[in-house]
Amino acid sequence: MKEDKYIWEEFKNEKDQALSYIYHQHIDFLFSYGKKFTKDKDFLMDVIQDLFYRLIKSRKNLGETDNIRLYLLKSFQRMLIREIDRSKKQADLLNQYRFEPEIVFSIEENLIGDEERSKALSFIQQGMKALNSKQREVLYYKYTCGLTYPEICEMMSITPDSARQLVSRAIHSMKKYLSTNDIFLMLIFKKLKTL
Amino acid sequence: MKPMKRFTDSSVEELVEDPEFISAVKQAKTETEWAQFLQLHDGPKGNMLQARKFIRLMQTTEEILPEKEILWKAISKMDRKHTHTGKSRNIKRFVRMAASVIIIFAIGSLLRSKLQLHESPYRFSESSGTENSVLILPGGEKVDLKKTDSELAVLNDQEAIQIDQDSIVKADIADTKEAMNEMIIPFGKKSKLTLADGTIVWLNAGSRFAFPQKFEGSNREVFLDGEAYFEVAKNKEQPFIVHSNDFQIEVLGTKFNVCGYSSDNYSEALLLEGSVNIRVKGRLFKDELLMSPNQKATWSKERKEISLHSEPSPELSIAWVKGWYEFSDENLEQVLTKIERYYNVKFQYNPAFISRALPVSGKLDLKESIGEVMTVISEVAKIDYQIAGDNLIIIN
Repeated sequence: MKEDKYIWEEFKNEKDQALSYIYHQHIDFLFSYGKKFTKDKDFLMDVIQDLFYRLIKSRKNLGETDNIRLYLLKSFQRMLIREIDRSKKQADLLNQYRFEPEIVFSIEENLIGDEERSKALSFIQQGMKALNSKQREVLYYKYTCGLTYPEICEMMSITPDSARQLVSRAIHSMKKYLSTNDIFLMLIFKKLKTL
Repeated sequence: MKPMKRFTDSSVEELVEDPEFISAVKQAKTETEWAQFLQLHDGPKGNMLQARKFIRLMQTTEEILPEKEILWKAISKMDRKHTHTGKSRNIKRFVRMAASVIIIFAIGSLLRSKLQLHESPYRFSESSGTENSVLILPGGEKVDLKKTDSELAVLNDQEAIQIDQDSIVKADIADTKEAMNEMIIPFGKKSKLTLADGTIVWLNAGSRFAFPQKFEGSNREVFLDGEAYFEVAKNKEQPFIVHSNDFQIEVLGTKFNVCGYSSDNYSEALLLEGSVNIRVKGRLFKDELLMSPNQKATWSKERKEISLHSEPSPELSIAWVKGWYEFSDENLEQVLTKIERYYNVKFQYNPAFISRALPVSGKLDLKESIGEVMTVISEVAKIDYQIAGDNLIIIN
């Protein structure tokens, strides 16, 4: 994290390469996050560009950070919601944009060919269905993004207690699906190449 | 040393909240690494296994923005004149404009190269199965390569090709500029080839490869059906293009592996160094991707989709260059297909049975005999087999 702090200072001092580094380091993450709000790629590119425009314009006055990804994520979430709010008022495109991220975990996507869609996989998928959207959001921030509880609370405007509770309920409902058949899951994780 | 015991004493609920445990799960990229981590702990490990599974389930796929370089151009432009006080709206319009300019340019140059391809579409010569590797010269003359691992080099000054340090062959026809040399590598063989520009190509078993004596024109173009590993000599003026069955890969100078057998239902490209631009054949710009090192692009013929993943252990994919084959949690069917190619054998098995077999990990020395290899495989994958004739192996 020291490195982040240093890079951020470099960016604030208009050092060459710092902006490029920050952009390329985080662009796929930001895009992936945006896709959870809308499939509209042009819209997302506009908001991402706006995000960087703001950073460039106010770089001298930006605060310090030792976690650039979190900093970008917070600003991006704020701008996304505002822009979505605006576009919803302009046009009546209710289903194309949402105000909260819709999290679909890799294991639930049909990335795996039919021949490999085993019983073990559909069993797990069935277990995942029980997770509600708030639980998914916490789990996504916690495990995919690696945020801490205070950070998650900032992103979701909830209290630390309720964030913890969402995770522990998720484990409770998933537990019986965790003890069975390892073999196919190994194969599936290998295919997904997420971790 | 920190006490390692506490993980085995913890409940699943405690483990999934433990930052140290979470980072241990994320750091163990392979099953082997995970097994090593488990070995550090005495006591029951059931909770650790469940907690790991839970953490791994909670992952989403990272998507890649295909237009990221276009967007970056627009953003870096804003950076250069950040004193600019106009509203960001105006700048957005610029992005769209810039994007359309680039796309039109891309269509233009793409159509041109398509047309060129149309004028001289490359077709591998008709040839029946050969025992040895074969080099076919532009004039049609066939040269038998006797060694299992042959080594060839294009000689620039003599307009000839050197084979295994001991013989030199030259095409019979006067004009060799446009014509292609062709290599046929049957199952059980491989070859290393140095091209006119210094690029080195390792051809794997069951592959065909076409290359010119000299690289003329604006691109260095070669054609591949099968698997090859490239170390491309740098030349910014003359991009190196590999045409495979499904992909067209454009590079300036880099190391990468391409696996695209026309008989397989997928094609793969793995980048080890530098950057390459990869384009799915027959599509204009939808499936064009810029790859970074240690990324693997997979094209599924069935789903007609290209996907990009990071490859945690790229060295496994090119182990064949050095004469061994290493795999980690690979499904048995894929392993068998590779063995078929290396050893020129045919397996007979019940697909339903094989697809239910355990994923296998291990390392095979490809210089060992097929019998030795099968002993290892049957132990690792818990299968029975019998050799039923010269090239047929039946798995029960």
